[in-house]
Amino acid sequence: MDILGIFEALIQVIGTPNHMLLILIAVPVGMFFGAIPGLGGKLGVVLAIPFVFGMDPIAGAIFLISMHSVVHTGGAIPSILFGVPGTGPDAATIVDGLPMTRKGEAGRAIGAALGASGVGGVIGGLFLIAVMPLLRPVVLAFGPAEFFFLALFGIMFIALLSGDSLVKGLTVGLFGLMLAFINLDPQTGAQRYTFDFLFLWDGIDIITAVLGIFALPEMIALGTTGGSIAQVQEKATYGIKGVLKGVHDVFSHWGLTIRTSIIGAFIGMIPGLGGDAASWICYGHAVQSSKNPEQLGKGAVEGVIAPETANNSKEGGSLLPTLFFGVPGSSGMAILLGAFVMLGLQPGPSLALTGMETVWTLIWALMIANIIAVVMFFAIAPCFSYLSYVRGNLLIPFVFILTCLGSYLSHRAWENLIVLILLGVIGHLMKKHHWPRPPFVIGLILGPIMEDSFHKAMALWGPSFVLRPGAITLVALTIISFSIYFWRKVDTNNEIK
Amino acid sequence: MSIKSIYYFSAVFFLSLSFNVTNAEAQYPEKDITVIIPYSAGGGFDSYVRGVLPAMQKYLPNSVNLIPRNMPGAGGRKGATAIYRARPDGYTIGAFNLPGLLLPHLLDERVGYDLSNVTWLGRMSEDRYLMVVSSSKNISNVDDLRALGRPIMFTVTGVHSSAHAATKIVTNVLGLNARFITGYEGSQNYVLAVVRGDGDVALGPSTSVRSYTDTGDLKVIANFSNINSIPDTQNAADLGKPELSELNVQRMLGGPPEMDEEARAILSEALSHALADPQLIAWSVSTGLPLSPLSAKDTEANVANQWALYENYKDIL
Repeated sequence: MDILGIFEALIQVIGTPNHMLLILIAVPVGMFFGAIPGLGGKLGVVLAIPFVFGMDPIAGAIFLISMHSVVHTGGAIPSILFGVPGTGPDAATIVDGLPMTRKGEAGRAIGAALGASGVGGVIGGLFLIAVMPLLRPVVLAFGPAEFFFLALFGIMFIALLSGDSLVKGLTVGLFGLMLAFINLDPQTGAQRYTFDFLFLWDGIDIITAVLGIFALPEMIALGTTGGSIAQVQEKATYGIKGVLKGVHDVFSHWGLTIRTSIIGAFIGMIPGLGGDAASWICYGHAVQSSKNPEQLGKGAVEGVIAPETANNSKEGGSLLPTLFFGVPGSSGMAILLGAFVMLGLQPGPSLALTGMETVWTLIWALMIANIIAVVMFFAIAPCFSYLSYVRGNLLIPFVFILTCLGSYLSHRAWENLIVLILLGVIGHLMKKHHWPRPPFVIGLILGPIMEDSFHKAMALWGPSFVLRPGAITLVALTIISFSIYFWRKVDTNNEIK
Repeated sequence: MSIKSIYYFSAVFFLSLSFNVTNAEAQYPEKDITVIIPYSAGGGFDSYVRGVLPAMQKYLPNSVNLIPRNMPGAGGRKGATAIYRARPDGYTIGAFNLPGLLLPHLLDERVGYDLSNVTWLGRMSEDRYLMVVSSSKNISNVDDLRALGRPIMFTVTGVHSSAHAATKIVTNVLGLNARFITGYEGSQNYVLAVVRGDGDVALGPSTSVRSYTDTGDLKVIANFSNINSIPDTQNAADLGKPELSELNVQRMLGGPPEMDEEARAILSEALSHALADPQLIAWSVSTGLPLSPLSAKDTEANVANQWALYENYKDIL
């Protein structure tokens, strides 16, 4: 590897005032698009394309990548404060972020999200540089059989996220899986449960589902109980102190931070698995590896750190297949890919021969943007934590509009609003009767990946696909990691007795 | 930025997206023109349209803008229906993919448009199919594929897509014992699947396979055109089936039926000027996205030809 070339690219980014200025402009724009539900990085890049068109390709690409890489840093904020995810992958942050806010720890949660996002982005970038020589074999090693088992691994996390009752968790997970079948059959093209509605052909929109299952029930609950989101009498951690505590948490859980950053970057690297999977799998990992797994879901800071590191590191990860194979690693990258083409950069395998300098430049831009996002946001983060003390009935209309806006804008389909309300009712009942909600999202996200890869693998290899080396490795890893979890759980239970 | 102002900006943004009141007047165009792209942003189709629009805009009077708007969904049908149902005042036009949007209509599926009534403005590009295999495999022509003595695995996108139709027609006409591994998202993905070894072979648009043939990961064993542009490969005529050279992927611009005549003339003229614009040609070369312009009139005839072509293969499809 050309070490000198790597650092030359860094100096080129930092030493060019134009590039730094572009990053400084791009970061707040990216965070804004992340923080407003439904806007997201994809739309951000689409809207920015006219501005960068005609710019020097490298400068334009730096602008877009910087903007896109910090979207999830902003997206964590509404997840934590209101339980409304700014972007799809930020949904996993709600599970512990919102309970932290309720406990009066909004500042700490935001600090943790901010720190985790920044560290995740940087570690993701470093990981990329380290694995660059392995990229090709890794991407080529993941075919339909491996996808199937990776998705299955993710789905098994339902068991960990079920809370007290496994039966309830499985039921909810299966419900999510069931809704995942609403679409056109990827193999035959037949309509499944679409009832002739065109908008259901592409399946239930994930953002709408997440907003319906998480955000609406929270608002209903807030409306009926009254008061503010933070349900504490005294102001606990407040302002900058809380934020600092959160940032400190990221570093005191350094093992988790590094692991989830790497897992996130790795999942991002594999095209087709999707960014939504990364944050949930990392959340599952946090539960699995936590010393107090029962605290997760009740406002544990690990539950914020894991998905947030994954969110930012996976963007770095997905940059690689986008650039080297022309195959986007995430939906946001798909748009970035198109934008690169328009700027005159030609992503694809030939880039490794001709454009390594560009690749290094973009990876550095991504890391620098992540650091700048943390610094820039650190100053205003405490203001956001005050919002959790605003009276509920002042907040509800605002959050309700954000929710509807997010649901509509994600596909510009008004029909989504009906789905939103329906799922909102279901989500409310689930919340009221203490059914766990995360398994639903996992089923909905991983179901289609599992189904599609199962069909492909069966068509290619028949049932013997389970005996492929990659598949066996993944099955073994799944069994080992779950055995460790249950063994530890039994161990702790014995200790308690 | 406070939450209130975020709310304010998002409301303004939202309104500006939906604000689409049109009013046909003389001296066309007197305001910006919306161009609906029935596919998601970032795809190959989107790149073409977004590449061509800025060049086209230069040749429009009154310095109005062409605003691209992605409306993905239902394999392009949602966007195509929106273009078809738009007010024919020339302020809403859109991009069409052939045969992608022709097939569902031909196969008697419920669609909200009729391509024979679309007001065609011209064609931007045409892409040919290439049959590719992994370079590591000992296959160098179609006969080698036949000699495998087992079903030949073709990777391809979802059912009823252009690529799926083309693969079905080619394998049927050539009498290959093919099995389809369907469901890959987009041409880049199913071509990559061949590199990975998921299948034996794929029929990919030339723009999607080019980067892999450049690096030597894939080799072309047949090209479905009448000219032998790639050395040592068979073309449709060599294979004894010249009719297969008519299979392609085309990207055109069009508007709703009975569109305002003046608007049509101005837009189609701007498009043909744009496609000859040196800057756009330079872009096309640097991005590897070739242009193959066709006038409004020829596009109309071309759509009819394509319809007739695929009608011949209706039983296969």
